[in-house]
Amino acid sequence: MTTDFMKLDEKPYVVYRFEAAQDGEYNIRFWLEASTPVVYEREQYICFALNGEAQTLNTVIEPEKQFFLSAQWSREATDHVKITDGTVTCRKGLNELRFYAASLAIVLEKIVLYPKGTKLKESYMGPRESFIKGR
Amino acid sequence: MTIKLDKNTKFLHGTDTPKAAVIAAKNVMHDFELIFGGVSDMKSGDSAETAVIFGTVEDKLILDLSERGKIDIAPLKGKWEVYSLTTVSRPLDGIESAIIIVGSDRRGAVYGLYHLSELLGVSPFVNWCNIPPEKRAEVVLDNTDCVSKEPSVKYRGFFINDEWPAFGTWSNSHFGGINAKCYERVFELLLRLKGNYLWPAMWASDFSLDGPGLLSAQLADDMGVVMSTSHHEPCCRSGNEYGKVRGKGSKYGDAWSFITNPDGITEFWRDGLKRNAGFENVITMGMRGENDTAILGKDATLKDNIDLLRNVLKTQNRLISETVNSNLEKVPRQMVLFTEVEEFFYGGKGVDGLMGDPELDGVTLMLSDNNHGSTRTLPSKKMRSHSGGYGMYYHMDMHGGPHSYQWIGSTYLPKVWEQMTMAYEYGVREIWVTNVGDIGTQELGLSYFLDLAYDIEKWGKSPEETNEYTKMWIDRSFENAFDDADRGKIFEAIIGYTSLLSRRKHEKINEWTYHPVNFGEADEALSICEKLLNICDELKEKCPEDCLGAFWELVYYPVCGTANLIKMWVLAAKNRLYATQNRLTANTSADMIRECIAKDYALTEQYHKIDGGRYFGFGASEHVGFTTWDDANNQYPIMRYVHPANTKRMIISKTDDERYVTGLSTFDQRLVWDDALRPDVNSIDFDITCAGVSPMKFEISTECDWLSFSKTSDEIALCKRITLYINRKKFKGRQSGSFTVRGADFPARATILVEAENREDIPENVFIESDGYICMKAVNYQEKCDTPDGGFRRLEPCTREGSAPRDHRFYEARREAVCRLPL
Repeated sequence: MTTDFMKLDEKPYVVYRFEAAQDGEYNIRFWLEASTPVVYEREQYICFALNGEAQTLNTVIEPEKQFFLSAQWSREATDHVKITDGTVTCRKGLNELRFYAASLAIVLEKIVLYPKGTKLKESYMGPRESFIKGR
Repeated sequence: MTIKLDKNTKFLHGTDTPKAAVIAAKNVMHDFELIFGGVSDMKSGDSAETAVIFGTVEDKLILDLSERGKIDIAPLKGKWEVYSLTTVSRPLDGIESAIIIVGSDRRGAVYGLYHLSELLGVSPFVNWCNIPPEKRAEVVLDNTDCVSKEPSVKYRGFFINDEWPAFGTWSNSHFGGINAKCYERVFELLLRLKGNYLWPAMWASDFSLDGPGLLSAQLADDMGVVMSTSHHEPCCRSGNEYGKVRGKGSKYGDAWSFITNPDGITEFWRDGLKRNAGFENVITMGMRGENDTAILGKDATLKDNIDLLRNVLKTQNRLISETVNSNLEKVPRQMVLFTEVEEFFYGGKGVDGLMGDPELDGVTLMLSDNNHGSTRTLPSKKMRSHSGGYGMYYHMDMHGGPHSYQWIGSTYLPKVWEQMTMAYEYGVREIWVTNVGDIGTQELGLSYFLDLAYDIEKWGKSPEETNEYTKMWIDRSFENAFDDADRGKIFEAIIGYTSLLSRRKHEKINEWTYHPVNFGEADEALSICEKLLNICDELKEKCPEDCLGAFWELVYYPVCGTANLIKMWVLAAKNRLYATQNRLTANTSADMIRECIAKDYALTEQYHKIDGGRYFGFGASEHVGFTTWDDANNQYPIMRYVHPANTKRMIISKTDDERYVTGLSTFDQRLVWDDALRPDVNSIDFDITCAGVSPMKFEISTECDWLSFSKTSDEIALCKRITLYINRKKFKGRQSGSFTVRGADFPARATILVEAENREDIPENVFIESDGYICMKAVNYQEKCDTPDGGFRRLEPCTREGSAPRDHRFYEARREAVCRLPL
């Protein structure tokens, strides 16, 4: 049921530039619409690259289980959001994040990065958007 | 050509015109009466200045008009549910001019007739919500000739489900039950919305028994409605029917089992098919256990289940060919791949599923969503050639996991757009059915779903169309009741409440949903709710009496019910926080929660009484504070009241921060506010709140020249909000300042450190980390790179954030399954 899509350099993408306060590992959290795998497979991928380092994450947390009726399905259907976490290494200062087209039915809402070992304040809607000069 | 319609307009049809068109015409004539104060059928020998002539391409009257060159029916022939409107001079002796409405088939004629009503400004909800059209002496129609398109989706409809307490109470109070009288109202609504297909109520009712008898089924067929049944009700039999005819001595046996009682079950199905064979149906196939449970026990293997279903399908096809039509290809059939049946279709663990089984040739495979509006499995490229095509069972109401939602319609149109246009692009075009529970307050979502299915080219282009649709929907319902500005406010109210519900549904909002202070999310939600309540109260005062019922149904109750409920829970979150800190504002918020609870009860009570009780029952579903999947243990918010301490005490806290100080050295931690490290922060709001006996007096002082305050001293009985200003012109680089809040009439002194930074090297168009995170809204990307095959597209409105990018691939491979990346 899965098919190769196309090479990374042939994929459409969007670019986010941000300034990190420090060198080191950051948690990267993708807020996505609570869509579900659109075929009968337990896979729904996102693909991104920070400063050229590409990663692919399966948004299905427990692919060994059927997605429908899983704990993830229950949580996402209730919260109306899919949250996928990863880790990246940021450099102090300017960083470039590319978010590529990967699996279908992915709708990206926002991206949050915060230093490893720290916690985000509790919230339902997530943090306020960071400052960006000129907007 | 123009044509004038008035109370002297006469309706004419042939002797062989289908009953469905004649019934629709009677409804349209009633619309004429409401507008013009009169209308009539044309009798033999009558003459008429203006007539409405209607029929289908097969009616003798229409064929005669065609042969005489008065109309052209060639564009209609062989089409599905297409109609034409043609304005003609002297079509027949004694008629000066006429609008001739011709359907390619009976429903085409029905839709053509209702289209005429819409041209006269009649809402599809004219009878459902009692929306009166504008009274006029005459209407002149100009340039209304048209040939409609074929609907995008063949069967378009809804499922009346989860009907207790709401739909059942409503139908009992108005019609004495879920019977033919009740369905007459429902069928008219369905057809006016250009739907054609229905799954009837089935919790405790039997469509083909309760008409009484077959009356409802007969009426459906007379009116042109295609009946079907839900996913677990095969062969035109409702879910409860077997329980009524089973037993010792029954020819159907006494076991709902195709293993132990195959002959009895076969007979049961055969009789259902025979009984309803004369009506237009889409016949449900397959089998589940009793009461919508798994068909076999836990000990059964996947192969056991699949083998059993193969036998079931084979038997059902044989029965259908024996009782309905020996040519199975001509019998619309469906199988719903819901719950465990999905696994039986796909197979697994080395077992072939039902996919590709010849017994499913010509059977529409109904897929479903995740119970909350996100489509699940869609047909892969390999599956798309299936001869029966695909359908979608989509929920706008749910009784089941992960939680039920049966109260006010909570559908967010951009989500429906996003998911259903994708489903359509994947080839899901044969059947769309949405579960709308009791229908009440679901009208917007239902209308949109059916209109999208009818004309996806018009409404499916982008999510922006959902805003246009909502405006059109409001105009259609309230053009006569409200002016442009007030209809704009209705739009704001509808977008407001559905956007709030796109974040979370009523039943699962609680005091833990919105954080009471962090990121200001509670205050933002509260402010939206207050605004929506104010808008609706203002509109209610302006609403004309004859439209008040419709306003309550379509706007006031859903908007205010939702806004009041969310306000209640936000206040509960604040109440909890305030109480833990002994802020006396906890008592204010507790009182406000009490008011919200009273309003929640009152809204439903008034809703049930409005317009003579027209909607009695629709508000009856439980909707507050679900602690499990259903309402078994739900509860309203707990209100916490605090008592003031015996001495004066102040709580100083930023409005978006849980941390606080009291100025009492034995308690306080050092408080640092670093908000102004973010370049666009020039002020900070904070509260000084009483936690002990009041009133109390405070004084604020600072030696820092770049800090100032909206107030530096006052007496407080409860709480005072202060704004701290940061004058960035007075410093460079990173700075620390401080200020002191002192009790003027009690011994307390709190010093708060303020961090700020003025950077001159901030790069343009780059997100800057502050407060320990970087947050980038997805739509605010700095650059995008499309390829010849596709690219990201901004969807707005969409998602909890209001807008979001999604990749759109401009080629057929987009419809391919999961894309694995060769990294």
